[in-house]
Amino acid sequence: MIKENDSLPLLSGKQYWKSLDELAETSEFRSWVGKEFPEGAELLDNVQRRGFLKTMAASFGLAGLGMAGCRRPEHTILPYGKSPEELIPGIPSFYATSRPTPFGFAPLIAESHQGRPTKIEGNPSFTKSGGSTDIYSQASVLDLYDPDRAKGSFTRETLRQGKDSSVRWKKVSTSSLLSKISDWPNEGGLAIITDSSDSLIREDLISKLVSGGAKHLEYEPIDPFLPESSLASSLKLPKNLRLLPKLSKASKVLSLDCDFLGNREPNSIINSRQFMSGRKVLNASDAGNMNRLYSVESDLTLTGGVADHRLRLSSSQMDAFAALFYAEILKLQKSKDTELISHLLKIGGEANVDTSWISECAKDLLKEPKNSVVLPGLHQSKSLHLLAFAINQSLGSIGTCLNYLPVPKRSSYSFADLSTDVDNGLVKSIIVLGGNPIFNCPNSGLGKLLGKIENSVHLGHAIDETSQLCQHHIGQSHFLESWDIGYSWDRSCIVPTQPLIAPLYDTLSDIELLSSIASNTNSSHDLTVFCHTIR
Amino acid sequence: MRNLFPKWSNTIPIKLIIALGLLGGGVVAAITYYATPKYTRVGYQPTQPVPYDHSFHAGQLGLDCRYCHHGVEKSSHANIPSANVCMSCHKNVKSDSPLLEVVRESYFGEDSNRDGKLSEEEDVNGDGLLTSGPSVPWVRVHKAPDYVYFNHAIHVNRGVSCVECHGRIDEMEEVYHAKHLSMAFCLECHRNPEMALRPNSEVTNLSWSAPTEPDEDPDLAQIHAGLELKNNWGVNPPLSCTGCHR
Repeated sequence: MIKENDSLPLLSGKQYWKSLDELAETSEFRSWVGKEFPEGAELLDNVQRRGFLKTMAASFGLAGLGMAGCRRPEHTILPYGKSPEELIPGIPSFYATSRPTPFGFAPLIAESHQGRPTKIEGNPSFTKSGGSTDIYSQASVLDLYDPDRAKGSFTRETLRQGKDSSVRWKKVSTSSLLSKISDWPNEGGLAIITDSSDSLIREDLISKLVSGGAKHLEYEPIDPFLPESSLASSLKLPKNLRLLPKLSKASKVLSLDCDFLGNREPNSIINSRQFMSGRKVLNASDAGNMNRLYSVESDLTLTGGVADHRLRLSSSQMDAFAALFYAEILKLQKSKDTELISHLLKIGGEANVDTSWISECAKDLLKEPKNSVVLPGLHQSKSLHLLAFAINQSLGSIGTCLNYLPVPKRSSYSFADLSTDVDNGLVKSIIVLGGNPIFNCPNSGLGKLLGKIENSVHLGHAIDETSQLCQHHIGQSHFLESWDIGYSWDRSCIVPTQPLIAPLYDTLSDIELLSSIASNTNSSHDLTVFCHTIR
Repeated sequence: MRNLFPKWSNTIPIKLIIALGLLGGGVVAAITYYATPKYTRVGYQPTQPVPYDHSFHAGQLGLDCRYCHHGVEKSSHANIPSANVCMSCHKNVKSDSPLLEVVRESYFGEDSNRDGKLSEEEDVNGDGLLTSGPSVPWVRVHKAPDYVYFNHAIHVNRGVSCVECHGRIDEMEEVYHAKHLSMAFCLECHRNPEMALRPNSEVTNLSWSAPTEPDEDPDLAQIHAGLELKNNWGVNPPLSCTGCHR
């Protein structure tokens, strides 16, 4: 036995540790270090490790003796019992569909090999995107085969044994769960929490339920509708104002923390296409007509990478920058509104920026004011969006390089409203459609509310944090398994989603769940709802 | 001083070299014979779930190859017929044969009384659709390795007959691996395609040979016919690695 040498001098210098347990010198850590093998390694009774290895080695050796591994493995080919018409094994088929995203429905072409969707590309007949897609749509086909998907419907079950109790998910059939949900007190006692969607069918079904007394709460972890609703409230308009860049005509673009070419902003595919069309140089004369991009940003983004002039600025100073910029524009335009200019300069006082950058940029934008545009970032404050609106208005580029599209207002029902309604007993059941609000909105207090009410169900792709606080979980069908129809982000077209495959598991789409509550038709892939909405 | 080694040990090195040479030669010869496709593949004849007789159907009855393997002209993969192709004849011909039970089971599936309609008791999985039965597990005879790209359609459409790779299927009672399909086999034909080309109309006629004039050598006739086709069709088979190993 080797004895520990106690006479070694104490370690000097910096001491490193590999885990928090090691740093804290917990007793569990000490005993773990002290053991040669982890706990449970010797659990097999009467079998010693050495003996086990000997037997295994011998059996592997003997297995090779018969040369069994030298046989050619038999491989079967399994044709259809009844082959689908027109199908030739080895030749894929392509279907037009679309992906519902918070930023509208993205038109797609999905490739299918013998009934299995394998690849997603943009739909080239949607001329604005011209057959390109974003990374999320490209990757979305993998969700269909995700091993962590909720493969059906589950109910929480508490097992009690004496004092101990444990909770487990018990698989139940979706149809039985649906009939249970339709028995819930429907009149006024129901709240539906959804992620945002531009689906026409869902809008129709929810408005039907809301008129029946249900509450509808819409949320997104990063709200893409905040700018448009804040613009509407500041300008006191009846409809929201959605900023839609039209960059094919823009010659100067100033981005204020707006990654409009990257994946953080809506419409980025169309933006990239339009913006880059102004950078095509086919002959010498084109070179002078190339567009120019100024990017003020707090992060390293694709847009910043493309920019001709990039200015580092923290997000918090963006308002001040925009105010200074607006003041500069007004000065150069020889505006008489000195009160506004001095107010803007006061707001901009705190900004720690190079004023020559601002004045040069403003001068450049004013060379072609109608073809110059200022784009505010989606995550930026209400005031920045208002300032950008004012700058674009004074440049006169609204209509040529960007549009403000009036879109209907969203549901204003908030988590605070839901909380009061639950406390007053107005809401007895909660249905969470898609998303994971418990994880995404930890401050919403939804977790407590779910504990207070009688019935709760979560329709989701996987059993997640939200499901853990609900009584039931229903697996959500992938968009390649369900019917839908909705607007694209710019509202220029209505795009249908058609399924390429029947649901792989016992799952439902949000529309199927809503229609079963609204009209008690729970047969999956029922086209009547779909057709009704289109009409 | 005594010798450390006896006298006979003088010849050991030469003996060893000869023995090692013989052994090495033997191993090389054995591998060349036993471990190449000519030995390992040719003659492979697995037992199929249904004793489908190609010599009867394709030979005597004269069914075209493409009646069953219909995707061969369009797809890289020559499909094995689905059970409904068999049943298009065997609903009426030999409809009770016990040998065809596997095919019938695959075709009818849930339709257990085989009347073509789905009653409520028959709908076992409860989806309201007539689900077909388990596939007929045909055993694969010819298999190109995964690292080889082979496209049936391009070969068949350019006048390379089935017989060039699969042999006289129309004379086989049970299909076996007739040609060795090694890389050399592919290259031989890619270098001299005129040896294998024939008019498109004769691709599935496995007994075809180039028409000969009196006293003409049949091989020469094939070369002449093949060269003409090669020029007319612009046949230029790839010889680069990436042609097949993509």
